[in-house]
Amino acid sequence: MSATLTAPDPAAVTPPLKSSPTPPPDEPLYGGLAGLWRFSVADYQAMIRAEILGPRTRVELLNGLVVRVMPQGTGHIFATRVLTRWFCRTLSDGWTVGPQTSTALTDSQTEPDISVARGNERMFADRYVEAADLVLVIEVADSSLRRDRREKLAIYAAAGVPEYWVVNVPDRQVEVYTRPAGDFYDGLAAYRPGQDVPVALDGHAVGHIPVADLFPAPGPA
Amino acid sequence: MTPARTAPGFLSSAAFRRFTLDEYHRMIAGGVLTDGEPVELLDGYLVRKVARGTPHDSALDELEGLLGPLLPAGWFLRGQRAGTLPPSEPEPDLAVVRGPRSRYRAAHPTAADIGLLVEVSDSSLAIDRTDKLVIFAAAGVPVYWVVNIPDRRVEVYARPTAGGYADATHFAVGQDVPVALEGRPLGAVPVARLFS
Repeated sequence: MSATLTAPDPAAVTPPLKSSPTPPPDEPLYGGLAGLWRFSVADYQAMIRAEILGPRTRVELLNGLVVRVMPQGTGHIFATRVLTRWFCRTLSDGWTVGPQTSTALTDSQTEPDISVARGNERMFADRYVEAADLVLVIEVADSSLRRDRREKLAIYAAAGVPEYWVVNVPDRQVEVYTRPAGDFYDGLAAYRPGQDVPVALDGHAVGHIPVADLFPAPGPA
Repeated sequence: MTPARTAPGFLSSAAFRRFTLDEYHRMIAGGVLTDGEPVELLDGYLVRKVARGTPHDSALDELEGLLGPLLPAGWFLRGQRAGTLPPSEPEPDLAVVRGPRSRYRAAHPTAADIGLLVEVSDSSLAIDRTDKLVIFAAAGVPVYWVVNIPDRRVEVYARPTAGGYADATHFAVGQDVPVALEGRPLGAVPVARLFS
């Protein structure tokens, strides 16, 4: 067998590509997730300050990987608005409510739909909310349900966030995860329309949110 | 942009924020990625470079010694240096590029400067034969060699197209790999010399 190593002749460069190895479709790209470079939270913040990431797309840092924030459907926006109003109206000055605000965790910097941190806004005038500040994180999930229940749940549990809610838009339920243990939560309670989700911050009851208020009225059966 | 094949792991590839060459260069300039960080930009993904074993480095040494004397004036060898093949900036094990050396003070070589790229592959074989091959072919790198350590052979890919190389020829121990630049034959590399 011999090879003529010529520069490409444009006329000759045509399919078929029988000779190049064709990867099987399920073979992971670039050696899979383990092959990708991971940024520290400090690197990520430096990139934000230097405007390297720019305003092109909303992103967050998940376990060192920069990923796009999933686009929001109307159901997502509706639930986020209702929750934002409820928390801002209900909570006293001793708490900071962050609608879609960056929170800096270990190896991750997420933008949860709602975060509640100890202390008033002044405490966070020149720094990000961090894991130790958080008492409650809420992700509203429509297209992002899988990510919110798996990767985000593991990130919040590992960071020690005491309570994490997934407002599950497709299934019209609120999943309340409590008692972080490793990268999982030991406690899970699901609330459906007709029920109220109890809201307690650091063990103090502050009110109830009717689940039905978070979702659009169901269409005709 | 070469087609994204499958999701890198738990998230769909659509979820990843890929980086542009400009962003990558600013990460380096801004110290987010420092010189010598074992990483390269492949199709917008920042990919770690795989750790190399002694068979890898020894084959690379041999190949540099064999290729160097064959090169005509106006060409030189670059080892593990970046090449700019938008939207990628890989750092192949060896590149035969146009001189003079001063040509690359302000910008890395592009496909038009490259006569031959070589990856010496042991643990990186899958990436080198699939993802990188597509990147090099799509950029128009005329000839690409994979020095395949596990299978003890040299794979020569030529005639680049947007999706891969139209020609693939394997050379086993006992055979000689012909070396040519821009169609001009320069000599040959005995495969046996590359493997212990």
